[in-house]
Amino acid sequence: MKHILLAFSIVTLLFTNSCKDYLQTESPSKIQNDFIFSTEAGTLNAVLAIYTELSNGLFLADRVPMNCDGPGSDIELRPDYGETGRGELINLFPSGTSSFLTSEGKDEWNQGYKTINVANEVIKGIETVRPEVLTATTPTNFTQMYGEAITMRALCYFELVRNFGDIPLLVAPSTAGMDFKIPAKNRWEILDRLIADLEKFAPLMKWSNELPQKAERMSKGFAYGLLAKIDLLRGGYSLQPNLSDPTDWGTYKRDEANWKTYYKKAKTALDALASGPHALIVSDTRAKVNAGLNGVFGNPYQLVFQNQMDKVISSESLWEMAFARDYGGNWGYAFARAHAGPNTPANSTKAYGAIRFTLLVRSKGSAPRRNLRRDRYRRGWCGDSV
Amino acid sequence: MRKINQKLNVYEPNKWRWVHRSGVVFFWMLMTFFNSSAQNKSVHGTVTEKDGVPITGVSVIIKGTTTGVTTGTDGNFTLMLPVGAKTLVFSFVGMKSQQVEIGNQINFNIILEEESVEIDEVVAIGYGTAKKRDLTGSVASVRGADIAKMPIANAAQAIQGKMAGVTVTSVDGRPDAAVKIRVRGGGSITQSNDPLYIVDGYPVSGISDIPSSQIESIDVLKDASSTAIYGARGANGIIIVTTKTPKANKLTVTYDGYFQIKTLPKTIDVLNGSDYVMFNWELFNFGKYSAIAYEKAFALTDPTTTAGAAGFKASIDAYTNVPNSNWQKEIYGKPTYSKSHNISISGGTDKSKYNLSFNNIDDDALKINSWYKRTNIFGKFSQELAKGLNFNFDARYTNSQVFGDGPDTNLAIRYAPVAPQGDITTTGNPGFNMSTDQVNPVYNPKAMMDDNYDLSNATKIQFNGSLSWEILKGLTLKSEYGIFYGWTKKYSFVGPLGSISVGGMPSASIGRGESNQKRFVNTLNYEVSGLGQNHRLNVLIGQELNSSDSESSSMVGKQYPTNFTSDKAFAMMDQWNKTLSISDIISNSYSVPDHLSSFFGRANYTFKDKYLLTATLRADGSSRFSPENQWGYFPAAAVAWRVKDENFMKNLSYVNNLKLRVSFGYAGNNNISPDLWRNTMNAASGGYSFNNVRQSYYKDASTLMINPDLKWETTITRNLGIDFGLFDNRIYGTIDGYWNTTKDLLVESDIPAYLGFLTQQQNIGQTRNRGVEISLGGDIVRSKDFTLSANFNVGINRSKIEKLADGMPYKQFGSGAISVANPSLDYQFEVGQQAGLIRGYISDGFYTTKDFAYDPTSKKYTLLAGIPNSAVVYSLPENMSPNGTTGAYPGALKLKKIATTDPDKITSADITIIGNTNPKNVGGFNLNSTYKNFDLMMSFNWSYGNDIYNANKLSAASMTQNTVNVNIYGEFANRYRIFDQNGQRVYDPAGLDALNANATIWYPYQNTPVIHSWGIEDGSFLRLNNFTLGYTLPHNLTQRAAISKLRFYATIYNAWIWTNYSGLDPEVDAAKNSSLSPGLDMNAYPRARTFTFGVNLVF
Repeated sequence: MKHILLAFSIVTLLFTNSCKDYLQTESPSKIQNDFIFSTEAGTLNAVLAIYTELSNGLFLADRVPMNCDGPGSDIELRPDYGETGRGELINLFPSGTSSFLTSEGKDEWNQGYKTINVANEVIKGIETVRPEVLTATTPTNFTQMYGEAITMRALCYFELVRNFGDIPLLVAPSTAGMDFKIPAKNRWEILDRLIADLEKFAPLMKWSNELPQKAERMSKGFAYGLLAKIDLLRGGYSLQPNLSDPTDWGTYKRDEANWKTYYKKAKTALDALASGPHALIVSDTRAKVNAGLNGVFGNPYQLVFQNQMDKVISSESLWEMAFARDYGGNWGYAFARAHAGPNTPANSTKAYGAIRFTLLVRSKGSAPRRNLRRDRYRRGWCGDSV
Repeated sequence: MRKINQKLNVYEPNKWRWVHRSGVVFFWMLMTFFNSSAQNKSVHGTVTEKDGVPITGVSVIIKGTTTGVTTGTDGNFTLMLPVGAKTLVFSFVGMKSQQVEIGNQINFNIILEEESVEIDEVVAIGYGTAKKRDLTGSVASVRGADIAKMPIANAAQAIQGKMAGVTVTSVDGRPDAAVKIRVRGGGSITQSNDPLYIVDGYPVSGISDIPSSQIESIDVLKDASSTAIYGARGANGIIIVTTKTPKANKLTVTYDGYFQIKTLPKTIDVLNGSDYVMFNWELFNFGKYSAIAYEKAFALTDPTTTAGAAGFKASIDAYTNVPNSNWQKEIYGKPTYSKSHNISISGGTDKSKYNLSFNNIDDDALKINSWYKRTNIFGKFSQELAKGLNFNFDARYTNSQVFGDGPDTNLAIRYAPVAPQGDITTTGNPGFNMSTDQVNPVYNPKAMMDDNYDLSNATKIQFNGSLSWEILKGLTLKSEYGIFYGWTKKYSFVGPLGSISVGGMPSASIGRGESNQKRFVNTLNYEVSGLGQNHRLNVLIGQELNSSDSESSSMVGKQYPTNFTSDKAFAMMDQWNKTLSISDIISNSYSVPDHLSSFFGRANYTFKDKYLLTATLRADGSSRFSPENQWGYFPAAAVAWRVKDENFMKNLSYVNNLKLRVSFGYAGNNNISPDLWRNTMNAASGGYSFNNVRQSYYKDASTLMINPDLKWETTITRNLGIDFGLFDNRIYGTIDGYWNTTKDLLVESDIPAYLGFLTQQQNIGQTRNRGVEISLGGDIVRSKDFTLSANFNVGINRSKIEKLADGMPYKQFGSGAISVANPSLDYQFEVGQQAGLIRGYISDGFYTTKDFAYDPTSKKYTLLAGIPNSAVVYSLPENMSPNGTTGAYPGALKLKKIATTDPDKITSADITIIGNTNPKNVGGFNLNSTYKNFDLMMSFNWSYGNDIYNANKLSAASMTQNTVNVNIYGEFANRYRIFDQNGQRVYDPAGLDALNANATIWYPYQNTPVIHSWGIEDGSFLRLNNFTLGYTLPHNLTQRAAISKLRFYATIYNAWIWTNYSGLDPEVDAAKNSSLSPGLDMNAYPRARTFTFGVNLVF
């Protein structure tokens, strides 16, 4: 009998040794918000995730400037935007087989929203762990980083709205329990939200010369510049859909009641930008070496690029998307191909970026003759980069 | 010590001298510790079979001691009995043991009966064993005695072709090849279909490193009524390996060893030297590189000149006289050797028993400059501490090392068979600067292999201890505790040749991993007594905790000084080129610990010994899921009816066994990654840069949207089986039919991209596996001198995907076997179809001039109406055809039009299912025969009706304008030509027709490799996997040397294969993710044909 009692007590003991905590396991290699946002360095590491997604080839490093730049405002019906299989207002009226729908625009859409979600996660993380950023009145390192997240999110929406018009607006991280069906929001409402965000948090960011990484991070100046562009987009014309008839091209219109307000807001933002350290380089401080072709200075615009080569960040730069030497992408491919020749009316074979930004006859024609930059518009870098 | 030896010497002096020498005396002492008495009486007798034939070599032991003798050729024995000897035990392999009380008896005439193997076999069923006659579920088994006769390296190979419904496929022929085992097909799509491997109760990741000589039995639990006892891990079947258990016996020392010669049975036919030069000359003419430079490099004359044209053919033909290399033979062709030694020592008394074994394999793998070594040490010890209280302990050590792992088949196929006879220097012939790697003699495959160093080293240690206590009669409490530690190291070095792009500065990496597991189990087993004659009831309840975690680290260095060899680089890892901006130089990370907490119970009830009922329930809690979904419950039940024992069967004397079984149950598959249910972040490097330096950052650990609602996949199995034995058990077998439904399959469902993720794992899919399994055995001849038995098994499985996500009719995956292929998504999983279908175009031969209208002025060929253009799919080299890259041209690959849209060209609408990787049936048959002292074994296995995706062939048949200097498959020697043998381009139809009157295949110039049905081949095969002939020396001869058994044998492994498959071997599964892209042959390591000579020696 003693045996039995002993046995059962042992059995009972053994069988109750499982506790609930046993099934809660965590790896120290996987980290959570309270760890990340407890320090400045950790927060910067989180913000860097947004930069990394933003500068991905599927978004700013390739798709946006090469394939998806452009329409959405005054210039969206420009007649010179066309190349078989690529242009023809592809962004607004893509045909069923357009590569914009299956590839380039899709990439921009997917990667843009991915970046937005990462930004939303960081924004929420900072708000939760560092709520003081919401009530701060002067720039701190945390408000700067919070501002960077806000600015990057605004930049993503700005590019997406330009290409896609009315789209879903998500300002909180996606979670599994939420309703996955989110209706498109009117672009003016989206832009209003971006404007409000930037108006509130741009002042809490630092100027690029106050940041250790200078213009390689988004700064107050960039935020104001973006704000001005968004204001202009908001005040300008855009092609708005006819919701009752999807076959209709829609209506080309602007916010007649308020457009002036936004143009004024743009001026306010640009004034704020101009109050900072950023300015056009209008004089070349370098000494002339000789009179030969290679030695002629006095070209301030050339100085900007010379600075780039010398790794000096120019005061003109609001934000330079930084690519380290080993960065893989199409940037060089897009911008560093030889132009097909001055008399070729079509796009040069591979000079996507150059041509997209420069073939606008209006802008070229409207540039004053003394503007030394005019001639550079059509120039790609020489050399076969492949 | 002296006393022990004295005592031993009385019996068999020669034998024990050997033991003494062998240094195992320590264990001998251990074992005899409980035994100390002196002899005083002699007994003798004869042991015979039923028919009076004396049996040689029967072990006669005094129970409770290690004292004993074996019978001689006449079956006689004489034995001195120590004081207190009460019982003699007679045992012999294949016979039922007998215990006889000694009393005053002096002469013993013993008749041993044959063991009825089929019914009385004991099988492992998880947390216990059962007699086969009492089984209600579907269990297949292989006995260690059958395995031991064949020289196979590991447990996984031991079951190949031996069990119905259990498919064993090794990835390819490399010595450490991963082995894929599937029980009844497997129900999951995206998650693992690997069965749960249990070795002596302990869950392990695989059984490839368990030496076959250590195996007592392998049992495979197939239906849920048997697997439900393993709950959340049971859905893909359970493979239970039981290693040899110590038995109370006299000391036995066994040596098994073999010497093996490996040969290469087959090579891929490639173009010979002159064909190779001609083919590449054509490609240089079409592509973007200079034909003139090619002619200079290969010392060809320029056929565009009159003189050059005259000498062109001779300059090509000259390559038949320069040395032609067959790189496949150079790399794999030399016979290599491997050796294996296994020594086992076992013995013990009734109270303490032990078993020790040592195994070593030293395998010079088929590939040059590569090898595989494995050492296993394994010991088991059991001790009765007090009456009813037993202690068991086992320890296992495994070390395996692989050097020069991985195949180089593609390299060998593609590398130039001849060296260029002209100028290939960059200074002398700058136009030939491109792609010289395949042709420059410096980079030949042998040199490349010497250039690299790749060593993997894995060590595992495992200890298990258990205590069982029979508290009351029939009530046993057992507590087991086991720990496992594993270490892996991997050293890789790429030498100067592989680092040519960085000035020959080598790179190196070292990776280390560490893992551990713990297991704690308590079971209470009650054999309920007092229920009366008609009722038997056994109840098991238990509780188990399993945990595992791991850590891995790596360091990487690049651009070491050029004089660094591998050992220097590993010894001075910090000497890499510090000016490089590289990330991930060092890393260390921990896995998410995996914990499993379980409670389980099983009841076996038997009524009148005829009606059997088993009920099982397991509850598993897993840390891989959110707290709300951690627990899963897996019930199962089975009934069996032993029809043979009914009265109405009594008269049917030819029926020895007849049993019907029905079962139903649930089992789970928790083989999914942890942390798919919660949001965590990882540290990552190589992100956005500041000041030209890539920064570290934190990113979402999951690229999928997390899903807190995830739970395990559940398989419902229904099984109907019949076991029978007829005609004195001369014919016996099992037939099982099953219907498995796997629900809650994890499928990546598409979610709106604006959520920031493209997919989310959801439990929404459903698959079904239905099938029949038959295994039959027959003892055809059972005479004294000659026996012949055969067994046969076949498994027929039909899988079907019943549901993916809502609104998702199919899901496609890319194997990535051929880069930039069209279609890139070459596998399809479609609702209503089997899993693992291959997508592609249908081949339709090649275009001939009759498909076109020809314009002599522009030299263009225009396709006739109704003939679709295939060139748009793959495009031809830039300068090849006057029709442009996307215009069809005579001799180009033609694809079949199947869609009604776009009748003038082939489009993606013409992609269809071109292959099914599921076999219609798989199976094996085995023949065993003995004649006097000879034994013969043949085992065959087959697979019928499955397709193989020969990506090797497809990829080698698509030469783009950028991939020049590469050799291709030999059948392209007969390709369509557009240059004649004098190097003159032929344009007009009559000329092309004349030139290609005997052409059998298109020219393989495609800028985009196409996946088409020509590369999908029937993978059916029948293999004589093992052919063994053995001879056992007569016992009376060996007895004098104190040897109780000495057998020599010779085995041919992979002796012959019947197949139409053109690749190296149809048993191949080389994809990186083989559950999503099964049946893929790409760069596989050839399977050796081996000749083995071995010996089994028992003292």
